[in-house]
Amino acid sequence: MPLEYDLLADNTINKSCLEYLLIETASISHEATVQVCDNENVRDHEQATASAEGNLTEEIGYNIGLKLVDYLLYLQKGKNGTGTPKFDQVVNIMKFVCKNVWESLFGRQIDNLRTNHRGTYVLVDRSFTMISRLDSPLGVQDTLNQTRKHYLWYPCGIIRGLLESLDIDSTVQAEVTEFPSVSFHIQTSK
Amino acid sequence: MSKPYKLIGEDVYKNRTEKINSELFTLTYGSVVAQLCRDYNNDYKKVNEQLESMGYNIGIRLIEEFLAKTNFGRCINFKETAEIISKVGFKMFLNTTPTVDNFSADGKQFNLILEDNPLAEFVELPDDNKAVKELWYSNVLVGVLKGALQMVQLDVDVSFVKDILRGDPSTEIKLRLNKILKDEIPAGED
Repeated sequence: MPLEYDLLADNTINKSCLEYLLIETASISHEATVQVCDNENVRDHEQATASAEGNLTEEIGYNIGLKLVDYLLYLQKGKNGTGTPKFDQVVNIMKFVCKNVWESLFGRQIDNLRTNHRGTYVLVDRSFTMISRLDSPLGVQDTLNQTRKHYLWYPCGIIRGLLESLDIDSTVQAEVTEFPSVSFHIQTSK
Repeated sequence: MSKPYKLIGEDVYKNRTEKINSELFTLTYGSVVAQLCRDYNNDYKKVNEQLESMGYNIGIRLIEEFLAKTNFGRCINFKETAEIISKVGFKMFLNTTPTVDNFSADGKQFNLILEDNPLAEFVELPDDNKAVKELWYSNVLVGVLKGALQMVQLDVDVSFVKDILRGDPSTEIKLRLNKILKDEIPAGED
């Protein structure tokens, strides 16, 4: 039975606000990392940037993800009290992420969900709204690189936090090959 | 006769912006502020500064979107600027309309009262007796206003004077016009 969140009808703001905020967040976490690297004399700047910086923006997403499930379920309950999704299997949780979570956050559902039935899930969003307006003055290739490096930590963190709050340990990686289509690779331990 | 600003603001928000769930933005902003507080070991003065500088960077970008979507020309006076900030600017980005109040006799200073602050929903400041005195939680707005106005040649002092989060009866931002910057037009344009 489909859940009904019309969050979008109730309470909205301009998407740009979040985009601007995330761009600034990516930039401060980048600066923070560079500083840490300099302090600790880390040679491999690029490598450190890709991971440590991710931790900061990713952590912000993670903290949101942790709170999100409760909040969505609470709203759901307020609406009709029935139709609570069944979280008995990981795949049902993934469906919840693809449909309800994505729709309430980003206004559209995940286009494609695949699994190897051994704990790996791949979620494909063919037009991920948070990056769709990024454009580097240096061309398409640079847009891709920058997106990969800086702007996908946030959704990865959200997914990881969300799964964590439903008691699933996971690692989440995002890959973008054809802009703005993003695939999220989720490796769970169950 | 041109349309009143209130209608223009509503029209731009309704028809010309992409929207997302405002709670996602609220949670994200909250996580960013919390992260900054941790990074600066609860030195709230530094957090205020950092938030303002992030806001400034956002403001100088945001004004482009604002001008592109509204096609506004130059304001005839600061009163008009105030009206546009509240009824069009805040409406089109944050979907809220603050009240313009306390215009000074010389017409160079006013307060914006935010009845509804999407940044600070469900927020409580840390209970350490220090945050309520020092932290301006929504200080990013100060930077945004400053940055955006500077790009339209208005040098304005912006600061928070009251915040409901601190126990004040309302949330208020004070804007004071310093001077109108000299317009420098690039050669070859009119």
